[in-house]
Amino acid sequence: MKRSLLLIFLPFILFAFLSFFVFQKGCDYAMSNQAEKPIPFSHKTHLTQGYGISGCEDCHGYDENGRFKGIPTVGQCRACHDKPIFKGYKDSDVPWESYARQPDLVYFSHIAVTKNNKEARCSSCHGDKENAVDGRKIKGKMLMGVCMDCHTALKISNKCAVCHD
Amino acid sequence: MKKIDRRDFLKVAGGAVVGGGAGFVLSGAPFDAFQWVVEWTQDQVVPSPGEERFITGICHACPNKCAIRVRMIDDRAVKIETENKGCSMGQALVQWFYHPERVKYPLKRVGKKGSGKFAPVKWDEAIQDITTSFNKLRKEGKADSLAAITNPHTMRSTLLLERLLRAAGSPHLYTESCMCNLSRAAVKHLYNLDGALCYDLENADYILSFSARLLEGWGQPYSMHKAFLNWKKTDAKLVQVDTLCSRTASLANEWIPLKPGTELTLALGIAYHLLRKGKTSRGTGFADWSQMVFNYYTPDNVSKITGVPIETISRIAGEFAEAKRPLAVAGRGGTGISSSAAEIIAIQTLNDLVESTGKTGGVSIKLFSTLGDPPADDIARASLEKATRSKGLDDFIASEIDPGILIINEANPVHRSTHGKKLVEKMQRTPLVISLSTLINDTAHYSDYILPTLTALERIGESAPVTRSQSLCAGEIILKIARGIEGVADAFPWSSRAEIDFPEEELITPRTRAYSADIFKEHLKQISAQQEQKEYPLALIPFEVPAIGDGVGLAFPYVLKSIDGKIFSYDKLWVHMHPETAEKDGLSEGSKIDLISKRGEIGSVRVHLTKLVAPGVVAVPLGFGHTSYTKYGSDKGVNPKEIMTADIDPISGTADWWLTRIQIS
Amino acid sequence: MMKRKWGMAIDLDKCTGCGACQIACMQENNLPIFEDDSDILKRVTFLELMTVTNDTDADAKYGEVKVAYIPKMCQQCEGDPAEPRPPCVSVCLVAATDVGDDGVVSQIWSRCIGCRYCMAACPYQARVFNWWKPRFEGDFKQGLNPDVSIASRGTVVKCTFCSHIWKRERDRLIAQGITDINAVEYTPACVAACPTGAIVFGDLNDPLSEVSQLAKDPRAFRLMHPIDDKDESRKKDMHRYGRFPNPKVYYLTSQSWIRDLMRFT
Repeated sequence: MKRSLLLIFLPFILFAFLSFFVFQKGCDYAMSNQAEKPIPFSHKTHLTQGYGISGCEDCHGYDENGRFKGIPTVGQCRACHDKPIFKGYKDSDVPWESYARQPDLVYFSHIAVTKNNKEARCSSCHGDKENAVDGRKIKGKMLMGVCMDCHTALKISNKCAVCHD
Repeated sequence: MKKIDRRDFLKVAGGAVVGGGAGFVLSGAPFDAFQWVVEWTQDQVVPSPGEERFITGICHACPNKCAIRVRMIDDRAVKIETENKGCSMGQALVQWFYHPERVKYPLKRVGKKGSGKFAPVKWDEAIQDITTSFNKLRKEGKADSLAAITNPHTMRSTLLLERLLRAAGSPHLYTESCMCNLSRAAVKHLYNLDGALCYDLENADYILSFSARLLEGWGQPYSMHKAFLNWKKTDAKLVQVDTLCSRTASLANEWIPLKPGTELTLALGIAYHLLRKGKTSRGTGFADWSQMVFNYYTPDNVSKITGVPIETISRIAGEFAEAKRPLAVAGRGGTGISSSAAEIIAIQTLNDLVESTGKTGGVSIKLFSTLGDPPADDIARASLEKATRSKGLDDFIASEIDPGILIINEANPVHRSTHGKKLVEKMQRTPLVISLSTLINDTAHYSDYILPTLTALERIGESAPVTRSQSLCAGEIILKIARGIEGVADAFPWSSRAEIDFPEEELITPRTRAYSADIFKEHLKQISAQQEQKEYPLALIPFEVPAIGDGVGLAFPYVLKSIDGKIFSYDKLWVHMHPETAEKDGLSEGSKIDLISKRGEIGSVRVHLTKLVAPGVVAVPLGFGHTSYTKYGSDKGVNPKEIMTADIDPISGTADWWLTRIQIS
Repeated sequence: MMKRKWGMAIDLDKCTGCGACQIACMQENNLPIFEDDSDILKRVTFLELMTVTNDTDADAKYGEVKVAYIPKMCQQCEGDPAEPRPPCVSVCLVAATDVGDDGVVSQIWSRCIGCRYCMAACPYQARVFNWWKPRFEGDFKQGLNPDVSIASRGTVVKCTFCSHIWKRERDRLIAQGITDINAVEYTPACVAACPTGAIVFGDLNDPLSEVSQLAKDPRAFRLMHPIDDKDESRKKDMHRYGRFPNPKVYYLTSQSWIRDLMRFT
């Protein structure tokens, strides 16, 4: 009896873990949940060693019309220091891919969320990037409910048209 | 240890499979898989994001030159922004700019003419080939067989084209029909000037329009809309004379329905009353002319022919005479104008009689500008001496002149002229046909070379958006060709179009007038004969559809989306007629019919019953029936110009297609 | 500042039927492109330029009949102002459509299951269904507006008073330091494109705005909204018996035949 159980149970555990791992990686790949980070970057270093960077916005800024610029370009990095690791990249290149992506049907406005005096900070959704030393994903997939919960708590409208188009 | 037998193996395998399944489910893969399938089947198109900026510029699609802004996302033009300016064509500029069937490179014909088979060639090669042909033609003494057909809106490239032909030794530059060139003939006849009628519509306070569909594409759209708003503000009165209750007629203060093609008669009927009121005009032959009007264009005669009641004619004449700034407007139609020179002269005479000519809110003469007489070498001079210029485009097409080289400048006469089929035959016989065009339209289809030009979006000014193509401005192309022709290059001392100082157009008041009675005497007989045709009992009157005009708009899918169901639906064109007309032939709403005139037959079209059209008249939309105009514009409906009257007006050399009579089958 | 209530006033005496509004709307909203768009019933357009005429009247005669053009888009019905529920929102099975805080009725195509109940409920036939996959051939893709997502086949879409332009303007104002969302002003595509300025857009909650003044103009009427002509007491009765769409688009005309044509009863 014990032997039978072992015969079934051990492969069960083994394959469960294996397939879990394989499928998770596979799904991440198929659903493009990974993001390439070719140049290593440490947020912690840049934020705590007196580089004169006061907040997220210094590098992750906004266009004049309020559009969020996202991950900075190599040119922005070069503006402070030109390192050999940037060799081969154009100023306008953004070699890092982002984990944070939205379907086309969501009109998410960074500027509306961060600048309307309602306590949202970058870390609320992106996690504690301040202390991150590499480009690993901190906060995973964020479904609509998370946005709506915060809106409800802050008494902001949850009507569809607020975020969707 | 016990040997592993089949049952054990099965237990292991079972455990593995179930374990695998559990891992699969717990990893969230089924949900992701389903989401992936959903996204894959939806196959959603996602526009690429980017930084937004605006480019300010001027739309050069028509002489209005409206100020526009182009919203750019990175280097993509996505929208034309205006502040209540522009027109529907302006909004469609992005579609024109990005049209997938735009000609990107110079094309050379590789199949038979008319097969539509072209292959890209290099600019240098094309220009070389073309200039070689030009040089050869001139050396053979056939310089007078050079010809060109141009679009009325291309003012500057037309000036260059005219210079090219003259310097080469040919007078054969013809313009598609428009108020500019139709009134040019009238102005020459009446005032002995080389100019076009220029109406100050915005400031007039009584506008008497003779089937000039002012709010449907006549003239330039934005300035007409501006004038329309001003009329509302200043309480100006628009009186629209028209056979159909067109959009303009509906918006007018008064609509005067009249029998098809009788605008000239009505104009002179009104002149009769003006003369009776003592209005005169200085000019040679005025006495004879007045006598002719009194004899022939009496209220009874005019009322009988036009169908307008005698009291109405007298009342309108009175209002016209008493208005502070009356203006009579000629030019039947919208984008496509069809009026005989005699008709324009008759209507213009009304303006002379009430002294509106040369005043604000009246009409002036806009002199045709020119880059000056080009230096002509011996070949050119000899050639110009023996060449006889036709009076107009249709006159040229119908003539025996077989061009050695034909240049088509952003025009589409094969579709827009009633002599389109004849032009195709001529083009088949012409050794070298060059079309300057952005899209392969009906005329470019029969060309030997298609040289890509720029859309209005690429010409809005500095930092205009550019496509990845080799298109050039039409003026540049003409300059390139001209500078490659021996003996002609001297007339083009500029290396690029930007260097050229184009002259401004001058507005003047005419000093001398010449009235001729003969052309009007004939007209009355012709019109009466027309109205009594038994074999072709119905009149065919065209109208234009918003955004399509005389055919240009049909290549754009967003324009296709805007077409009303009773004009084109389910792949069929609709014609409009009065229920009484339909009853006579036993037709009902939606019946399929063919239209037959003396010149031929088109069909099938569907019948729409409406009382907006007079009994005995069939109203047909223009702009459809392209044989080649991108996949969006081709083979949709029929082109009524194929069967419309092609009788050529002796003064303007252009066919007047408003007098068509048809029968139905 | 008070909440907005976006509305429109369209002056039919100024509309010449030129069609600039239609094309501007299509360009702004990434409407799908088809080679043959002549199947009127299946066409995807937000703004239909209706040709109306009184020539089917029994006593209509040539010489007296007229034609007019009415740009018709989603009328953004309000229903009962105390509890806004337009006809389409009240029937949607999956809450794909809802009334926003500014009165604009949103249409979230990704939630739509394509049952088309809302299309049946809409008194103005303002909603359209994506019968075919939206396709943009070749370079037409370059002209797409990134602010508008392209609805997939099988979903209903409609005019949203260009609410994405509102979002764009809101972001622009925030970038300038103005964070009050009720201070945002914008112009939908059709309004900006009209060469005669026949379409006026603004806040119906603001009594001084041009659109509020025009809505009270004696020339103003609403499409198929006979309750507008009744006196107050009759209005109250009618409200008890049935729902009225209570649209936010007003039309102005000095021609009584258009008003007569656009009534229900």
